[in-house]
Amino acid sequence: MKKWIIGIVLAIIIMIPIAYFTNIFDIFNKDDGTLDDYDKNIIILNENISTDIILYGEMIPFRSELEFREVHNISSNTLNTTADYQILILSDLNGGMSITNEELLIIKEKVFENQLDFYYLGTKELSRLQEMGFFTTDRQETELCLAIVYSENELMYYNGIWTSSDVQATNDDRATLGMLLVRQFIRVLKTNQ
Amino acid sequence: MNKIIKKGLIFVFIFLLGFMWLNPDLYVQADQDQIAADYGFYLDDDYFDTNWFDSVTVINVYMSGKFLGSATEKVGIARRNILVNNKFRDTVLIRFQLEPADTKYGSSYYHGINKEGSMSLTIASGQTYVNYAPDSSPVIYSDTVSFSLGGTVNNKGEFGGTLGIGASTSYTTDGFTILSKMSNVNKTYTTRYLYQPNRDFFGSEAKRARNRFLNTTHKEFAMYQYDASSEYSQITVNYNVIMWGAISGSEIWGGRTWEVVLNNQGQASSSVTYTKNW
Repeated sequence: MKKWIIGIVLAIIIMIPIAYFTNIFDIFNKDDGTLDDYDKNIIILNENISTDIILYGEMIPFRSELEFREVHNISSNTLNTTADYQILILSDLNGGMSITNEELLIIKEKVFENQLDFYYLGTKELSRLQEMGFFTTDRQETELCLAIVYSENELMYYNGIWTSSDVQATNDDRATLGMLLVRQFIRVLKTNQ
Repeated sequence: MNKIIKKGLIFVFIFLLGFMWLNPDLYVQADQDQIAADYGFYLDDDYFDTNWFDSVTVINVYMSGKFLGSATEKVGIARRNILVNNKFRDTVLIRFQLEPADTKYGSSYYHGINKEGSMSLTIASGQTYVNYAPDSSPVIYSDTVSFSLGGTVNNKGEFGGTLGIGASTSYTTDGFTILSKMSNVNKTYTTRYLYQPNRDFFGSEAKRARNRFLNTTHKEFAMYQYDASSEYSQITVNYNVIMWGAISGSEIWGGRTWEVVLNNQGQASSSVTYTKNW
């Protein structure tokens, strides 16, 4: 009986430093256990910075907490905002979006006057955007997202936000695309601080 | 009395001149290129014309389809504003930033941990090698490292440097190493930042702290210098990024050493061409 008790005590004594160094009990420590980087970025966009995110075209499955608005046409009225930071996404990855030259000209004017950060998802309209002067340099065929933003106090072109490699790696998971877009919005905001 | 004051003033003047002569760096104030400084490079506006490219490339890293983080680059070329040996002297300035993420998938959290960020540039025909920085001479570790690029490095690898002529830099600190080399055969400059997380089963708080440190954004820098006969600059830089992935049940990663598993990692690369007609 005595040996049995001594054995248990010894086992506990041995286990204590092992448990300490492996932090084994941290498995049960969930901290607040809810917010990841995506959630934190959404909070910044929803609450901390006056932001107006506009989606035109195909739906993107953002996390439900993200505040954005869908528009079905582009005009001075639909782009009108009082927010400090405005983002427009033309979502056309499946090639189903249609937009007129007049609408694109309204967007272009706002982009090049640094009033609007612009994202085009897809490839169908790239040649038209290039002809209209949205960009000049030829783009790699793997690129699926054109981003023209006001960053570091100048107009900047971001590449690689969503490419054919991302499609392959995620099995075309559009929820990941939504997360990466939100991450990009925050990246640009940080460069302007 | 006046003579004494005059002699005193002359003495002070000569003394100050001598002091300045012995310590010129204290008094020669460069016209710092502020934009370059914002990117982490310290250049003198009087000697260089600098062009920063208006594009940024993002590189996303995944492990089995789960996002671990991303990297972004920012590149400029500083051209010496006089010809050197009848050639244009360009210095390519690269800032490569690793941005690991903490991402929720179901009830698990995936944490990106920096493993390697590297960049390489192959000089074209018509371009001849001059120098690069940082290089790989060993240095002794200390908490706040200051080395011969003319600047300082903090513990996240952010440094300010001059153009690195004759620089002997390398940098080994608790958590990462810089390896830089010039391959004469391939005419390729390569700079690798290698990070070493702790993967032991038994992990002290210090070991976990290093892992948490590698779970944060790090800036990496490289400078490559060549002479060119053409006024037109064209370069291609290849980037490679590798991140480990740790999986835990908490969004704030504790850095637990047994959660860093060998082979749990993702890799991504990108090749970017930059052109500038001066």
